Amino acid sequence: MTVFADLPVRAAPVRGALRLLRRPDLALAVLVLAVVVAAAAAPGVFTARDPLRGVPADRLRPPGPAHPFGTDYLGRDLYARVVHGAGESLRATVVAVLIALVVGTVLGLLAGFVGGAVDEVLMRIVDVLLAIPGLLLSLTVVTVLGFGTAQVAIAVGVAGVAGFARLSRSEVLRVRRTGYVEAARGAGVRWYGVLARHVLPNATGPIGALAALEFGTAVLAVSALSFLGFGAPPPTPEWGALVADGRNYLAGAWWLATMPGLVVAAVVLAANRIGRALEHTEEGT
Amino acid sequence: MSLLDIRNLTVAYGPRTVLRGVDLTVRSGEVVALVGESGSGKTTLAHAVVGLLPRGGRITGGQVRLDGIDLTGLGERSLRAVRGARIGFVPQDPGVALNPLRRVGDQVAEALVVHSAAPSGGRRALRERAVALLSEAGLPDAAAQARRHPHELSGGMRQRVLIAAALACRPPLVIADEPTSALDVTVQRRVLDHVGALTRGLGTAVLLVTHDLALAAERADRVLVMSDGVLVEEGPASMFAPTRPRAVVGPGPTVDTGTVPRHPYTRRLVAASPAYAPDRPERPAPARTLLAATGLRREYGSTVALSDVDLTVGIGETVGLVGESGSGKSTTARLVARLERADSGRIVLDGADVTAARGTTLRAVRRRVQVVHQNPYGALDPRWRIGPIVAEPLRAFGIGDRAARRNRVAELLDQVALPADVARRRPTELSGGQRQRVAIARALALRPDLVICDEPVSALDVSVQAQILDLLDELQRELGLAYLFISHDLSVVRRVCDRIVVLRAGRVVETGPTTRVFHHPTHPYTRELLAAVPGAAA
Repeated sequence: MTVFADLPVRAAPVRGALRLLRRPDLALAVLVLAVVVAAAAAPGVFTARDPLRGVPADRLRPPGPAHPFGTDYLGRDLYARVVHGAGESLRATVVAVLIALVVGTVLGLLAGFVGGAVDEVLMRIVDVLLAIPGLLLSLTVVTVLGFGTAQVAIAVGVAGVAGFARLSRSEVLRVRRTGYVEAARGAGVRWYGVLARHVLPNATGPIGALAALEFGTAVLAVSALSFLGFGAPPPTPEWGALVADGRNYLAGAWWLATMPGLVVAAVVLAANRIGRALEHTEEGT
Repeated sequence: MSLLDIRNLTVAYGPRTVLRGVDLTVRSGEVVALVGESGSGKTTLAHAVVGLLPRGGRITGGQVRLDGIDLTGLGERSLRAVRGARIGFVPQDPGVALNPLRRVGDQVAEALVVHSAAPSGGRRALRERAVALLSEAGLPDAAAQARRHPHELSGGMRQRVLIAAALACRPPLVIADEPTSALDVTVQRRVLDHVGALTRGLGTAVLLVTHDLALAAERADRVLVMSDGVLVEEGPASMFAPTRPRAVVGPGPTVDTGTVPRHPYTRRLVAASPAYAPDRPERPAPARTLLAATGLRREYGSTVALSDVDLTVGIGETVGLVGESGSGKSTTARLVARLERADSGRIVLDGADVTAARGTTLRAVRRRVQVVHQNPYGALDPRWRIGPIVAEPLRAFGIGDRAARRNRVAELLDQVALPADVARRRPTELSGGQRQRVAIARALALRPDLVICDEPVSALDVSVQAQILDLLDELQRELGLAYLFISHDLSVVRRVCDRIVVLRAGRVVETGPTTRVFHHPTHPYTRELLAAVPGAAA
């Protein structure tokens, strides 16, 4: 008997983030997010100015060497305000994505794994959530909860729950049908062991990709809510609030609304690009 | 003059050469079979002839002459005129080769229209011609079926549609790439019988690409054996036919066919093919019954998948469960393995009723009854390394500490003849045969009494199949295992089983010792099934 006749010749699959960075657009997206995260963590590194102190003599200066993003109607440096606003905006966004991810995934896992009546009830609730436009749902929730960054984060998170629930349920149903899950059951592994060791790890890939996409959406939604005045109270710098402030000066000082708006757009685009890349690697493996 | 003349054909995918200087001729009206295992390059050859190599593949040398014209030099436009009109192509998988959105009649008519072979008389005449072609390909009630969509037809019927489309323009040559591999044996036999008669009548030459040496020997005039991109042997079909007539009891006389395969690869292939293997020697009856299932019934919605199935497996015995797709063999396996609950019936394991076992009792059943699944590619979690996969049952039952489990894994891998360093690898790094060995090692981890093998070798090449079947045999002798062996392949069953149970549409039609059932089948369905096995008529 030739035992080694069926030995493979394939090398271990080359994986990892390094390969992704060879794509220039992807590298740029990662760089944008890295800079924004760094700004949120240590704004002092990026600017020495105080975002709250205005210099009345320097009111409404256009972007220039002294003030890269210009100054606002109180003479505050807009670049410093955007940098210091990153923390507030990102915190709200991360909390929102985490809420959507955790709650949605748990609901989806339950629905997919337990099935039957539990599945029916949960998925009908998800259908209702999906039927309401995300921003409208967030507005409703934030109106009930009151104003503040935490409330905005919760509101945006609730709007994202349905998508994660849907996706994780379908992933669980897919993984449940695979041979190795049945083999694990046949080997006498208890149901929670099967769930934790096989179903969950194999379902996480697409969920991670959705989380990255959701991050972009959440940045936008958080900014939108604080633009509408539901977020942190003034004078705390926050991206959406900065755009809202600048709106009144749009005719005379275009940079006030445009600069923070461009930053939000860049972050959203970067998150989308990364999300898409994650989706593709998932398909590739 | 030969119709198709391939000279020194070389094909590469990127830097990898997959066909190395292949010479092949097909004369007018001749049926030539090309036999090889997966990766041998047989499908690549078929695709290269019609200029349909997948992306990245290109002909790097040699000629493909059809009626004297070299096809390798032709552009896409000229090749399109050849495909369909001069060479008909029957693809591998009837499940995906038809457009699901179009009626099958239209798809046959399309073949006529694109080659301007449509009869005069407009749409009506075209429709009639398409129906005539379908009916000629053996589709019953063709006029009605032509209006249907592919999903409304069975696999066998879809394959007939593809054959009708391939023959629509009366090409002098048809290339059929594993045309019946996805079909049940009885359907395969009917389709091939019909196609054989049809192409003989039309004088069409056929290049039949297949992995099944017995099938090739039975259906072709000439057989070519391919391995690793090279033709290793060529000869008349009789040279490759099974030498032992199957209808005779006992060790049949060897029929002298003049010549025998000479090349070592062909010999290995013949030795590995279950159709050429001797009967399993009879063994004494088992000491006692290990598993007894009575009156098993399972319904899915309103369809009855299984009704009134009785089954016993003795200690150390191999019982074969055979039947075609939809016969309920996998359902039976799942019920007996308690992966699914029977709607009614009783399952007794070693004297204890386990029909409704739950919790601790069910886990006790799991310790004694293990399953090896059909698909070695899906049965192993792709994120795990082989060591933990094999140890999973041990961990589930809290057997041994970490070091003890590692030792047991090494012992198990050794038992299934895998090198010890496999434990650190992941499933994607292993071949199909190796994965199936891993699945067997996992099933043996708890030292079960009964292993349920659900089509354990159907996804594997014949030479790998033979290795796995030998391994199962060895393990049975060493460990005294009982097997419930589920298979659609009667040749495999004949080789490994002591007793067989024949299922049809959820019912047991015949049961008995393997040699008795094979040589003196009592039920007409069993006889039909046996007659359909390639090589049975030889």
